Amino acid sequence: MISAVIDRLASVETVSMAKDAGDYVVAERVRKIFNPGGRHEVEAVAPTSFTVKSGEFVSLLGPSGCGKSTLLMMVAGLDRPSEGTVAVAGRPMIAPRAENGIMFQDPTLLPWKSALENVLFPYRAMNKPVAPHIDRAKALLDEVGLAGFHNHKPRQLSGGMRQRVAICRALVFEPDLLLMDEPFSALDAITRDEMNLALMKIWEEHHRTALFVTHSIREAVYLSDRVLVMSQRPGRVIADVKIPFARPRGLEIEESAAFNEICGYLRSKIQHRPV
Amino acid sequence: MIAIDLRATARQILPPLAGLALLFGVWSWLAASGLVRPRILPAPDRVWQTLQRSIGLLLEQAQPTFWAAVAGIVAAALLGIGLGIAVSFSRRLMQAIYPTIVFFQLIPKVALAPVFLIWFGHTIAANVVFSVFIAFFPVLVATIAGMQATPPTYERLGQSLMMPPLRVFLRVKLIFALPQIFNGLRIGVTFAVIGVVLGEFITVQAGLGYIILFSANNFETALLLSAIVVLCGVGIVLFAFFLALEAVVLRLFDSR
Amino acid sequence: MTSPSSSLPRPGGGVGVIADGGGAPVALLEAGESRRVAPPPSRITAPPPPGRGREANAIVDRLRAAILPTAFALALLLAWQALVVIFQYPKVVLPAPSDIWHALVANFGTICQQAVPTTRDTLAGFLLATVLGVGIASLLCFSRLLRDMVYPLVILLQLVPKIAWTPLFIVWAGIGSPARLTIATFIAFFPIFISMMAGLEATDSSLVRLSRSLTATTWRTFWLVRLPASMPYLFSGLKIGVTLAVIGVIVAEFISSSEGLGYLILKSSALLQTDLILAAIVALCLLGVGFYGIVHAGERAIQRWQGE
Repeated sequence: MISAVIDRLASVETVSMAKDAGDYVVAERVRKIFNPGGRHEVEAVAPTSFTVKSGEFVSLLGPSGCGKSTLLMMVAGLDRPSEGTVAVAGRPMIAPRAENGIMFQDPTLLPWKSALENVLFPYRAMNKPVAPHIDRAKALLDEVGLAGFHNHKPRQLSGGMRQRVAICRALVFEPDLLLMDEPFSALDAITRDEMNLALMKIWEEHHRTALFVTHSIREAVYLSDRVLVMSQRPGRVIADVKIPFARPRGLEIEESAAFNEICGYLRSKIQHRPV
Repeated sequence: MIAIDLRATARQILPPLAGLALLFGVWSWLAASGLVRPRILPAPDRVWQTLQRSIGLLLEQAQPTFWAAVAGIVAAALLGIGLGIAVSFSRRLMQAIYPTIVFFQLIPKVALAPVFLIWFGHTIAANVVFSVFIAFFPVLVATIAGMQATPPTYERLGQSLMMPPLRVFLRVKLIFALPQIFNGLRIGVTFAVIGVVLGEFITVQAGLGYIILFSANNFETALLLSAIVVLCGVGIVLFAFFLALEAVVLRLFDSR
Repeated sequence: MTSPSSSLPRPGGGVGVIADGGGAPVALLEAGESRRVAPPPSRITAPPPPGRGREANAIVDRLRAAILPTAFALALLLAWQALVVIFQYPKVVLPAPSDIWHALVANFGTICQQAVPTTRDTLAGFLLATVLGVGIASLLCFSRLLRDMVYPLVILLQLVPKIAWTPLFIVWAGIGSPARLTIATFIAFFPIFISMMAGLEATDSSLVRLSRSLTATTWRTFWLVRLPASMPYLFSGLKIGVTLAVIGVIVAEFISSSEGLGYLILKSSALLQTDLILAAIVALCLLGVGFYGIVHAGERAIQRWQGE
């Protein structure tokens, strides 16, 4: 039965380049070279292509330093590709766009502002009125279990709580694309499970298109509809694996044989060194 | 590839050079246009001529300033580092003394210059002692800070290895304190120069400070600027010496 | 045995770079600046006691922290008084603390009168230096080219013993109050400008990136992120700046003035009135500590507003 799963995985593994109407994020032969021509020239991302469909949760999985974060930054418009193009919602990304919600490895909260003020920060950054959105921000904080912590400063919150505030901040202005750059990698294993659960719950409720960067295989499998495996540096997408579990997902699926089978398969893919 | 790196270097060096050129351009233009009288701001080339003409006098006058500053920083270093280490051995002593030291850091110590004049007369000794007085505090404070810089785990390691306190001090605490101590010495050396120049302003009849004040009183602005240039030279030589000493000592201890 | 800084988490990891003084710009700082530029700013409290303090009773500890320094200062004054009484030093050479007190009381009117111009010039110079320092540093934040042109030159100028420029300003601005104000501005400008620059540039880069990803304008990012994040740095610069402003005014009063506490000190020294010199210096210390206290209070207010 397990081998049947693998067979199924292998059949969808081919990286399909055919654009179709549902593709929300389209990266085409994207390449990134840092310090081009200089002594410290580094090819971080080798020419690579992938797509993310509207409403899909996709993970970029790869070893440390493989360029997956760089790839995400290019989708966010915070970095320009050296070659190739990234398009979101049909428009090429040459600068950050207001409809992206983003999360970094650290919560990146303003230390001098309360949790609620931090959630409202996107409106301030975009110079929009804040008042109409306060109720929504409060509701989001309550939803992730931070009722009663609205007026706490970041330093009064635990690492997991801070990252929850960051989730709320990324969602508060109803972005159509959620970009997450290893958001839970600095947390301990137990908190991380909690955060995965919280993210899953809130994502299933709001259902945005999401691109999630991680180096944790289990996290990628648990969260995603699809996992894109990246090679070592210079990174490129070497496998595109569909995750077949139904939603809503509980943490208990991590105990299933199929889950572990998929993890093992992905691990074998990661260790594969490109020529 | 080398050409590319040159380009990177050029990007670093060119903007400040352009800024400097702009500064000199505006200065020359101001002087040439007659908007500013030469006695207020002489043209750069006139300052250069004056500097060349009076370099003999200026170097001669630089000597008392230089040696007084050397004496000042050396004495301040010995006193400051010694006392800083001594104080750090007792927590109580430190608690008692530290606020007084901070108080002395806050008050305008230059105001005490005339008192040194009364104690030591119009002599170079007054300058030296005043310079020690001014340069002493930054060295002391930096040494005290440096003596706290050892991470506690290292001290615990020393204890668990049954090292006697003196060994812990010599082999661990002192080494960790070195960067801070040199930090204090760098501040101290600029203070020592300031102390000497200030002393020359109000006491003796020699030194670069005296030349600066003398030329200001006679509106010989070109000579004044020349003297400031030479004084900068004195400051940079002393500063560079301590930078070099720092590099040598820190490398010595890194390699072991 | 934590450093006093560890109790105050700050944005930006750049703090250590400045505190350690390893980098070139720090090497060029002067006037105790490199040590004190490092945020969090030094507090006027005893440094953290080494180890094993944990089991000690907190109240006894706090009492000791207050009593020990006071006792030490009192002992110092008493020793001074005893020294003068026992060895019968002439008042010209070393007046006793009691003599200084008498001089302070007897000349209270004069001292107060002379403190007015000193206070005025110091505060005006300090305020001007703050406006210029914060203004120029903020301006340079918006243009990379301008920053690369100006910042290295300021660092270079920082190397020059600035007190030596005092006579030049007197040539330029005359011997009146404007010259003294200019000197105070000139001397106080550097630490304020340099720490403001350090603060703006040390702002947590991920905060800036976040702001950029939210399509905030450069101005919005400056106003919402960089400016608040640079406050701890700015205040450590202001503390150095205000003490330097006092020094600038005093030196200017030494070399050309007919008013101010510096003038009173130099005049008394010519008349060999050492007790009056020291009385004037006591007044000056009070002024200096007062100015520092004002800046410190401002810092605390900002900290409280920022929720420290």
